[in-house]
Amino acid sequence: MELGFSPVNFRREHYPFVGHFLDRNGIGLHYLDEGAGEAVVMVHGNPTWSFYYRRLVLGLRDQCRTIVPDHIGCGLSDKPDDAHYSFTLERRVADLDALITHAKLPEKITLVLHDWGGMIGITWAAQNPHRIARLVLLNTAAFHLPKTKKLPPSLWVCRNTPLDALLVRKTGLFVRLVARWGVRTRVLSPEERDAYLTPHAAKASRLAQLRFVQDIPLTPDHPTHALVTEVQGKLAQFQRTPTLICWGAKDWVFDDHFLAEWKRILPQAEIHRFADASHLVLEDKPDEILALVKQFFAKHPVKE
Amino acid sequence: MSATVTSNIASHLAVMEERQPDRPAVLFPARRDAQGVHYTQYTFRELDAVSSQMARGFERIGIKRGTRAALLVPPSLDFFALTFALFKLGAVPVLIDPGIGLGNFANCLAEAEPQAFIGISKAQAARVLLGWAPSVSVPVTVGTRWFWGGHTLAQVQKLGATEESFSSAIPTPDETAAILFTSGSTGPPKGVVYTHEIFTAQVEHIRALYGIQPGEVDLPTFPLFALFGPALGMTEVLPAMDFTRPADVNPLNLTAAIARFGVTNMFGSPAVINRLGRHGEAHGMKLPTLRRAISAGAPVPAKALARFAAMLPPGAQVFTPYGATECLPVASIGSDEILGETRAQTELGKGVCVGKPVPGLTVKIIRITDEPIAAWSDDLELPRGEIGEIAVQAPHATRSYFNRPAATAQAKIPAADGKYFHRMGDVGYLDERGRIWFCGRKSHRVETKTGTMFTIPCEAIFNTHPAVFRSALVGTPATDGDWKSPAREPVICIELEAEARGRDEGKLREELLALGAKFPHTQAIRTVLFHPAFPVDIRHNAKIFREKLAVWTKEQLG
Repeated sequence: MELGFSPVNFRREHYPFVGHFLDRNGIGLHYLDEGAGEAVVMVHGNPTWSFYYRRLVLGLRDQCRTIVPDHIGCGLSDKPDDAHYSFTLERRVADLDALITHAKLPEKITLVLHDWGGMIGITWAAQNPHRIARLVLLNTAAFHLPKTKKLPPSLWVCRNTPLDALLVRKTGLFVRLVARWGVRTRVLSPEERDAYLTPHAAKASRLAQLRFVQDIPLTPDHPTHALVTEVQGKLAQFQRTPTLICWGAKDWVFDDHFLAEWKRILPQAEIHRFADASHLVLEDKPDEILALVKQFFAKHPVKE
Repeated sequence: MSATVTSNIASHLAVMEERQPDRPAVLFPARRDAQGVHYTQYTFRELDAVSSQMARGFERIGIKRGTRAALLVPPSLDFFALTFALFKLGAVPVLIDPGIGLGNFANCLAEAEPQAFIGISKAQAARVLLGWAPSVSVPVTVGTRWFWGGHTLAQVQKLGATEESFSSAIPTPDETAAILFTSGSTGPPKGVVYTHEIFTAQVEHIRALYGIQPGEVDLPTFPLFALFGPALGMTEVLPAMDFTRPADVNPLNLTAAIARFGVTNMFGSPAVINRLGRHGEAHGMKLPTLRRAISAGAPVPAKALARFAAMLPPGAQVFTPYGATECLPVASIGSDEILGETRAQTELGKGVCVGKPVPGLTVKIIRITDEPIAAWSDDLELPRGEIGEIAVQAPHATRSYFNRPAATAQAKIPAADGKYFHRMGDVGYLDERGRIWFCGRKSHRVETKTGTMFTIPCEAIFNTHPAVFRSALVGTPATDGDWKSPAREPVICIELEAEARGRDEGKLREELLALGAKFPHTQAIRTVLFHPAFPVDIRHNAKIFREKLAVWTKEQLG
């Protein structure tokens, strides 16, 4: 359904979009569907939402049809509890697939992926390889933790200790940390910061953040482990897919270990590493990345 | 739900705010230009926040728990926020259905004795100029304040603009939540007293009966129903229409809103169902997104039901809950059952089937009397199948009228354990499957020398004649000269279909009398009168004012 807009600060200034809702068994998945032309699907990670892609949408919608979901529990989507939603990779991929089907997109799709959105997007791509036109990867992964890399202490705390409830759910510390330290070349404006914090203002709304972190499979007995292993094994088929990687080097999770892994798996990728940018690389380098994406699209036109 | 714990009806909003904060709760058509209709909205988050802000502001200007506050604001974003603000405070909104006519407003306000008056500029002006509600000490103007005192809503919101969260009042089970004045079919409107418990039970009944899911989109064409939307987690899309005259609605405004927002539910009135159905039939239009329509206020004629049902996708139907402001719903039936089965019985004069009683509600058919009944006793009840007055007992049945002890005594029967039966003022019977068959208003029955005649079963026989648009049974004083006798002579008044006007009335009369002679319950009718246009209510264009017709009949018969 179409959604009219109301005067919430960040929306008017930074997010001038009319969103839509897709019904997923009574749970509403909010998404943007902006512009017309070749299809670009942007998949966000944790703890962000479609707001993260706003400038890419504004910059590309004159030439592309941009589809940007808010994962269930995030952004403007509904915030169900565990009884109504399973918060697993498998479910996320099914949601993405339902949205792509619902939107009746053309055969060839460019995926733009950030953070855990990479795992979701690449899993979908592995199931639909014929539909992938290009890949744009931003501080993300689609494989198990590189052997050279240890799980950062912050995530370890979230996953393995009772502090999870306190840090992620009660205080919203996780999203506050990301909003503060995920951008290094500037400080987010109060409205932008609000945009990241507001959708998660209620305690129940922060459930998705916690479940995302807990869905990272570190041991083989984790329910999501097998799926990640399977997808990882299929990544090599994208070695001929035009790929652009824009990387914030100051990311404390998706760091150079991950970048090296991408380089190894997809050697054809065009890589831009921003030494002073952090995890929210699109907040640090919006104009640079938009220009790179446009060049990259022009260099690799979509062939139906 | 436990019987001892009562939740504030506003707590439903908080639950939905948690679950789906960024979905629109209310969409309002603010303006129209070349690009079409532009809507403004409150999301669930905003509706919750704005209503808390208003509640805090109201507290500062002296509106508090228990304060009765007349709310004269048309359906709009403010209307929703104001109503939930008052619920949160534990103040008592006095809601007056605009369909009752201006003359009745003064009476309703005098009766409700509100301390606060929240209204648009026009309503405030009327209050001051017409001397409405002298009890008011706290006026709040929605819009511009002209020559009267008090605050504007904008000032109230400013007073309440803090970051603190607002905790809703936790009501006691008997605490009044709202006073509702709706158009009664007889006499001046009475204030129906709602408690939070009644509202909560009502929301649960509507949710369970119709399987309404959070996230659905509702188009309300009957303003009070719109308040259930946010509590059920539905988005309310307010249509561009005059809610006091649903029969005049432009069907294109409704169909456009239904298509644009993917409306799944429609709270309608019979007039709207009729209007949309005719439009659909004429233009071959469908409403593929609708899962159901719920029509209340008056029965929907089977013909209108069939036309509207034809616009719905497979599996969707029109439900007609039976009830009144004092108790809604009592029972419910879907168009599949009506069109597939009960309609044929209705046309044979068996009454209108309104379905099975809702779970938790007890129905008794009691012997007919116009007197108050001081206490329940089992011998009031009639054997199954006999026509009597419909009386109901349920957690969501209201217990009293505001400031109307006589009317309360007339309509309520005290029973054991502090429970009450509410007398519907309707007559009907229960069939072998426990379904209720409605046979008309009790006050419209006609007592003749040979027995009591009921409006719906009699009229149904004459309505089957193709030239008849509608008919009405009335009684006139018996013609045998005994004016003191309570017995009446039955007269059937006929309003013809437009295309049948001008036909030979003598011949039609013969045909109609022959039709009536076929059925035992209409054999006694010997008089047929043709009326150019029945006096009916403006809202539903369906409730026939039989009292007025009876006067006309008397004049005709000289």
